[in-house]
Amino acid sequence: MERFLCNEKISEIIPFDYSSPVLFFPIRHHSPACSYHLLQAIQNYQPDCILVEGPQNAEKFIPVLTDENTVLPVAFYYFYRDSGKYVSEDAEDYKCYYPFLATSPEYNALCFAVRNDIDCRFIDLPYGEILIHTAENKGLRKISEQQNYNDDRYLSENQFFKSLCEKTGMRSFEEFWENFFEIDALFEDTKTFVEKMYTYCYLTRQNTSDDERENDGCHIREKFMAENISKAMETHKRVLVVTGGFHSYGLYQLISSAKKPKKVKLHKFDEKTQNVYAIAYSFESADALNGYASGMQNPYFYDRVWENIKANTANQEKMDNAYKDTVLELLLQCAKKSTKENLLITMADISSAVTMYEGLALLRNKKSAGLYELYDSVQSCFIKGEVNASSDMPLKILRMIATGDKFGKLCENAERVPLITDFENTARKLRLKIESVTEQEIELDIFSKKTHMETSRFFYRMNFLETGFAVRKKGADILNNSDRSRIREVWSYVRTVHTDSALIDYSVYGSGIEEVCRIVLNKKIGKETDCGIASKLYVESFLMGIAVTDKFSQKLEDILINDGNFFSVGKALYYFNLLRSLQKMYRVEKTVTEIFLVRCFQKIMMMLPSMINVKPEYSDECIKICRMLYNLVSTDLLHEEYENLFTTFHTMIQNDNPEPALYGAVLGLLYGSDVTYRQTINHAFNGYLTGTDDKKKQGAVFIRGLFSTARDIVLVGDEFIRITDSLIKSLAMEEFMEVLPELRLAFSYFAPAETDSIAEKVALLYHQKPSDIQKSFTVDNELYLSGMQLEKEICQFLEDL
Amino acid sequence: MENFIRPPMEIRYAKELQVLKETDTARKPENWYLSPKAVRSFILGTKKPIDFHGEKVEIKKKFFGNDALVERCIITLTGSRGLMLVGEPGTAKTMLSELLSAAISGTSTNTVQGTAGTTEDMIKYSWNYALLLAKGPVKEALVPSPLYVGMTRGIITRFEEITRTPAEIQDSLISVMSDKVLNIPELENDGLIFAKSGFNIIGTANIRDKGVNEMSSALKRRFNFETVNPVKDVRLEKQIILNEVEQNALSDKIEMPIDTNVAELLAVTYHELREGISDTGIKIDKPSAVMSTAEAVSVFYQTISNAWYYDETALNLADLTQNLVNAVCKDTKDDLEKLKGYFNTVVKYKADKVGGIWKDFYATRKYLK
Repeated sequence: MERFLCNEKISEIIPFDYSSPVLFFPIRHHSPACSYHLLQAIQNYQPDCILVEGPQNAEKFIPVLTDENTVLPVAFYYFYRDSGKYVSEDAEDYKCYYPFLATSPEYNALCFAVRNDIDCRFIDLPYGEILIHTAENKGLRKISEQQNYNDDRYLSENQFFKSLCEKTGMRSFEEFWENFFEIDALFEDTKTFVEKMYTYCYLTRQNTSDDERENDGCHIREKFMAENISKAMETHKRVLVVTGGFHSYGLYQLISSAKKPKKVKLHKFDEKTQNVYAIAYSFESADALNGYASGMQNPYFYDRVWENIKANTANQEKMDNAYKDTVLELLLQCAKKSTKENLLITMADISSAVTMYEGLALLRNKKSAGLYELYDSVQSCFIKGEVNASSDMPLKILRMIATGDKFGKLCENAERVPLITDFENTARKLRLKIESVTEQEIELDIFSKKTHMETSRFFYRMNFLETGFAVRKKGADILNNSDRSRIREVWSYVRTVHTDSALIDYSVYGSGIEEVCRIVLNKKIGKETDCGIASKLYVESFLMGIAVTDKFSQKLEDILINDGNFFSVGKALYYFNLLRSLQKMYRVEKTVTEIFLVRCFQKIMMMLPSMINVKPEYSDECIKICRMLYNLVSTDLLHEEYENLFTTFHTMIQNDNPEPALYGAVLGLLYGSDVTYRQTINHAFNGYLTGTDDKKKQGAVFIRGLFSTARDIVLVGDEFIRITDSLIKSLAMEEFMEVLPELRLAFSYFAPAETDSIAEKVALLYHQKPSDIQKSFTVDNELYLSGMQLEKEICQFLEDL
Repeated sequence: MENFIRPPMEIRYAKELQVLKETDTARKPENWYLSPKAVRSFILGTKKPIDFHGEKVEIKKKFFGNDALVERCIITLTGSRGLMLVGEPGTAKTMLSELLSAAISGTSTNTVQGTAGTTEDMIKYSWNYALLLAKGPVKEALVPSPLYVGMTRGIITRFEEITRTPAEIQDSLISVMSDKVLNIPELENDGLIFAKSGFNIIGTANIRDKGVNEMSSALKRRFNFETVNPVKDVRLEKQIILNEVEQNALSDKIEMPIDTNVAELLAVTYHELREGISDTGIKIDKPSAVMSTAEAVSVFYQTISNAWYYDETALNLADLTQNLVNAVCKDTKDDLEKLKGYFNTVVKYKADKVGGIWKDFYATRKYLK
C-alpha cells in the first residue's frame, strides 16, 4: 500500500504549498480524518476565501447550515423539473440530497469561514445544469443514484481500488478507507495526509477514462468550478478550495493552465423549475448503505469518532483513543441492546470481544481497532451458532447503533417551505410528536372526539401526499372493505426525511396541506377515465375530510356517463353505497353521493341482463354486484326500482346458456323475494344432475352461486340435501375430486351452526345419529401457527417466482 | 511422507512451517509453535517468497474465500475460549482446523472424532484394565485421551463432528473449558490435571447432516463460533480445485497434466448448481446433494486417475460427466433429473454461445443416466 501512496512525485504533480495563492484540499464526504486535517490546514493557511464543492444555487442556505441553533444532520434538497426537455424528451422531474453531518469537512470549513468572517461560496454548477450535461444513466442520472450529490463513486467503484483491496487483504473499499485514511490519518501530519489523498485520488482518476468523466458531467463541472476559483483569486490572496479528492487534480490543471477554458453558459430557470431547500435530515438517510450514498457508512460511529478526535486534539499522544473509545462504547451499547432483546450477552462475551478486536487490530497491523474489527468481534463472540438470518441479531443491532437514529433540526430563522410549516403547525396543534425519531403510536376515538377525527383526517391527507408519515394499524379499512365495524383507529407515525421531501415535491401546488390535497385530487380526477378509480378518489376526499369542488363533481359525472365497463361502474356503486352508509356515522351532511349512487344503479341495470353469460372468472364479481343491487332496492332511496330489478333478474334466468354460478345466485335472489322460485331452482338443479358429465360438474358451480345468495334453501326441509346427495353420488370419483373445490366453496357460506344442522340432516338421510358423524377435534395452537407460517412462506415463495 | 495416503498438515507443509518458525520474530503466546502473525501467513500465504538460507520458499495460500474468518479464528485461539467451526459439509472446516493446529501446536493429529457412539472416556481418559487390576488406579494405568494430551502438553485438541456426539457427552467438556482442569477422582491427590498454556479446543460441526445433536447453551458459551460458508467466488473455487488436485496427484505420483479449463468448468458447474442460477441468469433446480468444493476436487481427481491408470493420454470429459453423476446423484433420483435439466439449459446455452470445452461437455450428456 505504502508503495502506491508514498509516491515521491505526487508533490510535483499537485503541490500542497501553504504559500500558494490557491490551495486544493481533497476530501471525502463525512470523513472525520478529512475534517480534522482540513481544520489543521485552515489554521496553517489562513485563507481569506473558502470555496466548497456544492451546487451554487444553495449559497443562500449557508447561514442556516452554519447557524449555532441548527442541529445536524441537515441536507440541501435540490429539485429540477425538466419541463423544457433539456435533459431528455421525457420531461421528468429530478431531485437529490446533499447531506451534512458534524463529520462533513465541507460543513466544518463553512462553519470556520462564517465564524471568522471569511468569504465562502459554493462553486459547482446548479443541479439542473449538472443533469443537462450528464449522459443518460450516468453520474447523477444513474437510476440508483438519482438522490445523491456525491463523487464517492469515483473513489469506490474503480478497478484500481478493487485490485488495491485484493493486495491489501481488505474486504471492501470502506475497510480499506478506514484503515489507510481514517485511522492512520490521526498519526500523520496534514501534509502527509493530503499527499496520500492526492496520490490515491490521482491514481483513481488515471483509472477513469476521459469518456466516463465526460458522460458523468465531470469535465464541465470542473470547468465551471475552475472559473469560480479564478474569479475568487482575482479578489482574494489565499483561496482554499475544498472539493472531492477526485477533482483536485483536474482543477489544479485547469487553474495552472495558461489557456483559460471557455466560459460555461447557464440556462435561466425560474424557482418553480429549479430550486433548493434546506431540510432536516437523519443519520439513517445519510448512511450510504441505505441508498442515499453520499460518503461514509455507519454515520453514528464516525460521529462518535469525530467527537473523540475533537476531545483529544490538544493531546496528540492520546489520539488513538478516538477509535479505542468509540469501539468500546459501541460494543457496550450493542451488548446492552442485545440483552434487552433477550439475547444473553455475558461479561465474558464482552471481555472476549474486546480481546478479539484488539487482537485483530494487531494481527492486521492496524494502529487501532476500527469499525470492521468491531463487527468481527460481535460476530465471533456474540453469536452462538451458525450465522444466519435467525441468529445474526447482534450484528443487526450493531448495524442499527452504528447507523444512528438522530434527526436534525433547522434553526428558527431558516427559510422554510410553507407546506412543511403547515405540516408542523398542524402536527403541533394535534399534539403529535413529530420531533421523535422513533415510531409513535396513537389510538383515535374518531366518533366521539373531534380532535381525533381531525387527526385521522390529517393522517389520511399525509398518506394521500405519499409522505409515508403515518400507517393505520387498526381500524376500519373503508377503501378495501374490511374491519368496517371498528370504531377506533390505531395509527403509527414518524417523521422521516422522506416526509419532508415529499412535501417539498408537492409544495408547487400550494402552501397548506388541505389546499394541496384538494388540488391534487382535482389533478388526479382530471386524468381519470375509470369511474371505479374516480369514485375511490371521492372516498379518499371523504376520509381526508375535504369537500370536493363542483369541478370535481362535474368531472366525476362525466366519467360515469362515459364509462361503459360493468365492473368499474359496479365498483363505483360500491363506493357510493358505502359513503351513503357512512355519512350519518361521520356526521357529514348529505352531499351529491346519493345522486351518483342512483346514476350508477341505473347504469348497471342497463348492462346487467347481458352479464348472465359472463366468463366464469368474473362471475364472483357479478354476484357481488347483484347482491348489492338486491340490498339497495330494499332501501328508501331505491325502493322504487324493486320491480325493475326483479324483472331484470327474471329476464336473466331465461337465458339458454347462463353462467352456472351467476345463474344460481340470481335464482337465489329471486327465491329471497318469492319462495315459489324454489320449484325453478329444483328444476334447474335436476337439469344439471341429469345432464351430461360436464353439466353435472357445473351443478357444483350452480349450488355455489345459489348458496352465496340463498343458503337458507338448504335449511328449509331436506329436499335440497337429497338433490345434492344425488349429485354427489352420480359423480365418478375423479369427477368428484374435480368438483370438490367448488363444493367446499359452496358450503363455506354457512355459519358453523348451520353446517352442524346440515350434517344432522345428512346423518338422518343415512340412518345415522348426528353424533356418529360429528367428529370435531381441537387443532393444536402451535400446529395451527406453523401451518399459518407455512402458508405465508408458500405465498411469499410463489410471489417471488 | 511418500507412504502416507494423506499426510497430516505438519508433514505436508513441514518446510513452510520450519521456515516460518525460524524467521518468526513477532510476539507469540506461550507454548505456541508460531506467532499469530506467522500462523496467518502459513494459512493465508505471503505475498513474496521468504528468503531462507539463500533459498526462496513460497508460502502458499491454503484456505480461500474469507481471510477475516481465519484472522478471527487465530485471535480466538489466543484467548481462553474454544473455537467452533460450523458450516455445510465440504467447506474445508476440518482442513482449517488442521492447519490451525499444525501452525499453533506443531501437530494436527491430537483429535477426537465425534460419533453417535462417542463416550465420555473417549474424550477424557480411560484405563488399561490389566494394569489397573495389577497396580490399582495409578497414572501408569491411565490411557490418556486427546483432551488429556492437549491439556498436559499445552497443545490444541481437535474435536471433529462434535454435534454427532450425544449432548450429555458433549457437556463433559464444560468443566474443562471453564476451569481448564480435568478431574480424575480415581487418582485422589494426583487427580487434578491442569491445562498448560497453549491448550485449546477446535471443534467442527455440520449444520446440514442428519443425526446431529444440538449443543447446550452452557457449552456454546465456552466457544466462539465461526461459520464457514462455501466459496462464493468461482475464481477462488477453481484455484482450490487446481491446488488440491495437483497436491493429490503429486502424492499419488500421477503425472497427468492438470487442465485448468476443466477446473474452471467444474468450478462453474458446482457454483451454478449450488446457487440455482447460472452466470447468464438461467434459473435451475438445486440438487439436494451437497455441492461442495471438496466434491468437485474428488470428481476431478477421479477423472484424472481414471485416465492415468487406463493409459489415456488426456483427461476424458465423458469420465468427468460420469463421475459428476455419481457425485451428485447419491440421495435421490430427482437429482439426476436436476442435473439433466442443468445440461439441457445452461450447458446447452454455453455450448452454443461459448463453445470450446462447454461444447464437448454438452456432448457427454448421454452419460447422464
